[in-house]
Amino acid sequence: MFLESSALQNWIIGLLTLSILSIVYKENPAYRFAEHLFVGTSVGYSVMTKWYTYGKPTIVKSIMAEGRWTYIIPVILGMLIYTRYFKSISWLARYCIAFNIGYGSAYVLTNDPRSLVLTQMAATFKPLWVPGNLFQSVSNWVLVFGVVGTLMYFFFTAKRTGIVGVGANVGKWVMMAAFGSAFGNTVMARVSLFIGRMQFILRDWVGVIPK
Amino acid sequence: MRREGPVIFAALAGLAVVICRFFSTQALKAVKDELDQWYLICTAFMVLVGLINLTRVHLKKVSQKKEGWGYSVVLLAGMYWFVLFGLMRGSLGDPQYAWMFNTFPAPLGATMFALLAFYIASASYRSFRVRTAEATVLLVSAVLIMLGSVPVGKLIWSQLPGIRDWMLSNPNTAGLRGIQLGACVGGMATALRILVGLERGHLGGDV
Amino acid sequence: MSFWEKAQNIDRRVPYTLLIVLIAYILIRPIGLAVEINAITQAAYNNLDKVPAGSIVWLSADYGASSMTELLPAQKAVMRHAFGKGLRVIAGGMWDEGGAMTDYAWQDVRKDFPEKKYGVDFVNVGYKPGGKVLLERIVADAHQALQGIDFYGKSFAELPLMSEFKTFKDAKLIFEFTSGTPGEQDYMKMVTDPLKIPFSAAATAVSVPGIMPFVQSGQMQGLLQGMSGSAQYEVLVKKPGPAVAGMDAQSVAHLLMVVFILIGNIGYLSTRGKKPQSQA
Repeated sequence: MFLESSALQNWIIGLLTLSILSIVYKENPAYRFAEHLFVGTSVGYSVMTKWYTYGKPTIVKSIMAEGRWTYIIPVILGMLIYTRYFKSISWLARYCIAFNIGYGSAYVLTNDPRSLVLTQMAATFKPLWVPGNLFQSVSNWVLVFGVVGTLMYFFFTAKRTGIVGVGANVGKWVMMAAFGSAFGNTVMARVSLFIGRMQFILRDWVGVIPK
Repeated sequence: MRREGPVIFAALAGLAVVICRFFSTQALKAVKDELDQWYLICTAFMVLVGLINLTRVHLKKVSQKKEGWGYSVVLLAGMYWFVLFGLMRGSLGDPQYAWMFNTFPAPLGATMFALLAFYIASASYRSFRVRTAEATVLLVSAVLIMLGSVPVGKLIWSQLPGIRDWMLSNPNTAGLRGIQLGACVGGMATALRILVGLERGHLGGDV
Repeated sequence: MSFWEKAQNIDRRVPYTLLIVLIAYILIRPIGLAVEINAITQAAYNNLDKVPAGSIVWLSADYGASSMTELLPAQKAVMRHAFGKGLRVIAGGMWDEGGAMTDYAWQDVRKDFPEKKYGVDFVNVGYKPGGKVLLERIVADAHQALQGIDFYGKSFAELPLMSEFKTFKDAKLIFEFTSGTPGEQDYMKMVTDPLKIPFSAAATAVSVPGIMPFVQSGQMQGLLQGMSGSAQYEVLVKKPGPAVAGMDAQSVAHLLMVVFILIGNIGYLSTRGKKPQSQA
């Protein structure tokens, strides 16, 4: 059946890939076609994932087969979001958003402190003198005073003099190093994505690289 | 109902989670489990918002024959084709539906993001200037990370991979940990403001 | 315009063309630079390696096609490692396309492990919405949280492996493939920190700096960093693949970027303070 043909698939993918990459030269109809096709098919697929993973099982299995009639309430609550398209009843959509935001906010409040604050703070308390290991000691100084300095950098209500000034300055330099790391990694990530597409073109489509 | 109702509703939803966290009884656990499931179901049924918005915008463009309306036809056709074909095939894992996914949105998405390689190359070359000492530190850090992350770095200088690992584990960790601690505390403050009704921006309009 | 003024204003199509040509050339004629294993990747490998045979591990595919190049090779390598050790794998995800990515990986990896049976040794639960709330539900009642069906629409009742997985506590290790939010922080908050389950991850390079604080704190034991990390894991499982193949091209691309940054800055420093001979 034609859908099993990998040659056809590779040609379609190859042409669409070149269409997208053609924007590097200049804007053109092929790029716009591929761009719009991407947006449409992605949204269509996203709708199907939610339908098959949760929408359909909730209705068919949980409510109708297992009799969990209480689940009708969140179904209705979720559907309230669509009232935003009708001006006279659009205020009902706020209830749907309120439930999601309120519930999610409570999760942030009750779960974030342990993993994102307390454990991280505890991990910052490293020994400033490691006997017999000067390198580790220096690294620990960088870590401890780097964290403290970064936090002090954001004390905007305090004058940048004295200990706060020194701390903020340390924080500034540490953050510059951190942002440089972030930039270097960002370059690596972006280039990797392009290498992946080139591998497809040269290996799967044109066939100059062995599989 | 229109203004205060949603605010109170958000607070009650959040309060339910908080109470269940602080008091663990079987009854409260059952309530929490049920509400968790409600949250998941509610999220799933909100899925059509993107589809409806795109349909409204692009149908209007097509009906008014605005510039580029042909592309809107492509977008709408692609979107509804994936929905209808998916409904016909019966599951995400159906081989033919998987073929469609692997042929269209997957490689298109990968290629769209691959374009970023060019933009970052252009941005690095044109904008990355050592105008200040801070920018110099940023540049040096970026170059060390870029070269230390790839095999050629070790050929240039055998210590580069080790320097890169040290930089990620120490100054990078220190800087980003400080930022994340601050962001987390800020997030908790915002969450508390939402639960007590001080923060209403997410509800839109004149709430 | 002086030479250094010109050097700061090279037409953008020059670096674009060089990038394309060099990457294509190196992919066709690889140099074969050795991929070194770093300590953080080794830690992730060791974390999975010490899980006893027969145990269940949970893989979380929290990425889409846009991060496929960096994370799909890692997922395949990790699955090969797990199957090679006799582990049983259940894969889920909090991202839309996670189920499809896992299916991609399974269709390839199963060729090397024909004895592994779907439903007995491996289950692809696929994507489920809800993020951190989903994870909390899986801790309480996995079957209800996952709606009792897998990515292919099969009921858990047909999948013997799922009868042994009722909650995250039944998994001996969690390995996540993450490219953003929801992601590793949700696992740490809801699952691995409270339940003390070993946790490793593969992340896109852009996410790595933000995840390193959690590696340093011990909340995550090992991290595969972008395509480089995937390449290292491919070497560790002795099955080099597209990630290893791409590292030479990655090296050359990084060198090119550094050269252009240096040219731009040498030009800037040379012309700084001088009267411009032409408009910028």
